[in-house]
Amino acid sequence: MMRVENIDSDLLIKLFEYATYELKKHREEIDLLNVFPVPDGDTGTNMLYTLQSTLDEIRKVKNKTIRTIAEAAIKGSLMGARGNSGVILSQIIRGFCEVMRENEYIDAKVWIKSWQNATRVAYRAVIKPTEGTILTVLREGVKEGVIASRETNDITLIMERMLNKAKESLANTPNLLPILKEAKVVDAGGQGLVWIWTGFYEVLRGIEIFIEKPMKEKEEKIEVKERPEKEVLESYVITYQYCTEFIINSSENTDFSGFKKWLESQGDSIVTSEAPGLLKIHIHTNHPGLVLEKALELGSLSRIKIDNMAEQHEERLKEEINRDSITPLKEIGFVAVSWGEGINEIFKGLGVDIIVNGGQTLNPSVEVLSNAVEKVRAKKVFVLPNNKNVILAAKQLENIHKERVVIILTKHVLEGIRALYEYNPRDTWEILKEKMEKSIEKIKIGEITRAVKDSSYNGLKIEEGDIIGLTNDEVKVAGKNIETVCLDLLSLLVDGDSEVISVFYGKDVSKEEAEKLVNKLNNQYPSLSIELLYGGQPYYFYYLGVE
Amino acid sequence: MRWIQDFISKKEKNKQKYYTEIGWIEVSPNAIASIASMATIQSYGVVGMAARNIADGISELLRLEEVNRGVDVEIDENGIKINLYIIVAYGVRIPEVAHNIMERVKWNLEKVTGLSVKEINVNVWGIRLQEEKEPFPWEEI
Repeated sequence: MMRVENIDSDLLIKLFEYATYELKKHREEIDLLNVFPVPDGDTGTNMLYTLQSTLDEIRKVKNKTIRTIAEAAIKGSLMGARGNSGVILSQIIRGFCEVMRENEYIDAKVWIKSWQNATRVAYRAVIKPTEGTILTVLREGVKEGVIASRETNDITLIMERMLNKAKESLANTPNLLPILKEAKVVDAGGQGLVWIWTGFYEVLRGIEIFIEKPMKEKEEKIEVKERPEKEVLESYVITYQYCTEFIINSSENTDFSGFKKWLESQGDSIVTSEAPGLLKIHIHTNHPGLVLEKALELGSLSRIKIDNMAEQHEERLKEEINRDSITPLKEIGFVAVSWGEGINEIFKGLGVDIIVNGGQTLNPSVEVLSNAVEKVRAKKVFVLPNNKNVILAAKQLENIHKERVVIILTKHVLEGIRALYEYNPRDTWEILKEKMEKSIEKIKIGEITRAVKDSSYNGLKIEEGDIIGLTNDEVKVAGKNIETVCLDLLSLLVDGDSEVISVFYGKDVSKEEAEKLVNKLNNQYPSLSIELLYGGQPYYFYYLGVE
Repeated sequence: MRWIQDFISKKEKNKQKYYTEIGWIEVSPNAIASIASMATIQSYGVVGMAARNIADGISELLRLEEVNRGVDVEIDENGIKINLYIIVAYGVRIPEVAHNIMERVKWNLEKVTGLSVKEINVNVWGIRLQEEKEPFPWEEI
């Protein structure tokens, strides 16, 4: 086990990286535990999202010191906070970093003070803290850390005791919160914290040598892409040209300290981590060969990687310039929130520049939307939230991008698609906005899905698994057969003024079934034109638009 | 005190009754307000609720025993509509906290009463830096 008495800025970043990595590995498992406060199974996703956003902000920092990293973490966690557990996590990160940013380096004392403050800040934002949650796990873990810090100034050891105590505390959560006991689970948020701390601990004890570099893997849907700012690229001066990484495999009791000392004379950005008989090195140097030769004296080398940073730097610069000069600035661009591959394709076909994934259960944050708006090369960017839960976030864009954005309050992807039909490049943005807003009112939308629980609504008795037809979020019809429900719902939506019915079939419906439905509709409504499109949306068999 | 009367009579009008074979069950707006306020103050990021004082428009911070005054309940045949007036902690992301409250209140009300909640509006009436009530016992190091 590695003894750590001091955490510098590089190690601090690594802590956040590996915490994110651990959370990512266990996201689904955490989601499954989520029964409190609302059993919607998104705790892991929300915590990961929040931590990922924190990490992304940290990576944007140009001059990495403890202070700048801590400040970036505070900002990133606040901006990316999502869901209940995400908000709590953002408070924990804030408290943690508030103390750290006042210090040039982090020793055991600062470390434990930071956690004490994290606990205080996290508790401060709630009147009646529910015990048996992430707050309990945090408090008990930190308390143990305080005791440990009186006995040692090895942060690794302190973290180990905090982690073990947190695990114990987590196992006890069902005894404090009856709803957990009923569901036979431990608290999801608490489990999330345990994984975050596991990540911290693994880095501190030097375990990272044995796993592949985690952050290089392709991110899934949660990604918020890192884009280095242009000024940084242009003003970036490279003193040491080659980024060199490798591992020395030596015998158990080799003393690496002399070699590490010598490394300091060879370059900068040096990061080493050590385990018995192993030393991992990362260095920026002008003489990689010399470094490798010297390392060979200690043992065999593996995972050698040398990059010319000047080359990388130039490529990035070129890319940046190309992108800016090739595409001229359009008058109007579009950002749409969408869900379902077919619907994404339709949006692309209608000229949407950037599609942000999101829908009923995954609401994109302000930051993701804001980044999307930023990337669109247009003078005015129209944003279509396409979901009533996203409207709130979309409205915030007006504060960030001022006159550059125009928000069209679409509550459904069909409204978004309908609005885009109005686009005519010759119109000014004012006219387009008015046309779009009017068009939304013309369309009536129906949704066909499956009921997830027994209930009764507006006098309808619904059993789990029944097919239900909704319009404006209200259940209007229910039944056992998808087609019958579609026809019943349409009979409510179609009136004398209707001209077109658009049918978007979801990913759980085959094309044949959808065509069968359209045939029936053609018979039933001979005077209307019926169009069939592949939506590919999950959960909903059909979206129906009537106009 | 006219507004109080208005207030009471408005609440009286909006009773929600279920009829069963042996009698009716009524969930009053007051009961609904209590459930909603409990769910709200237990939400993370909320440090208090405010009364919507119709008479002078000034909001007052409510004590824990009377937080249900920070809730407006309207009931009609489509379901319940709720307005919440809250004070949030300094430094939390407000849209997210508000969203969490909506979900939590809706879920709690629907679970307990079986009624459907049509609308929940969250009004953030203030932000407070909450003082710590008691120092943590392990404060000194």
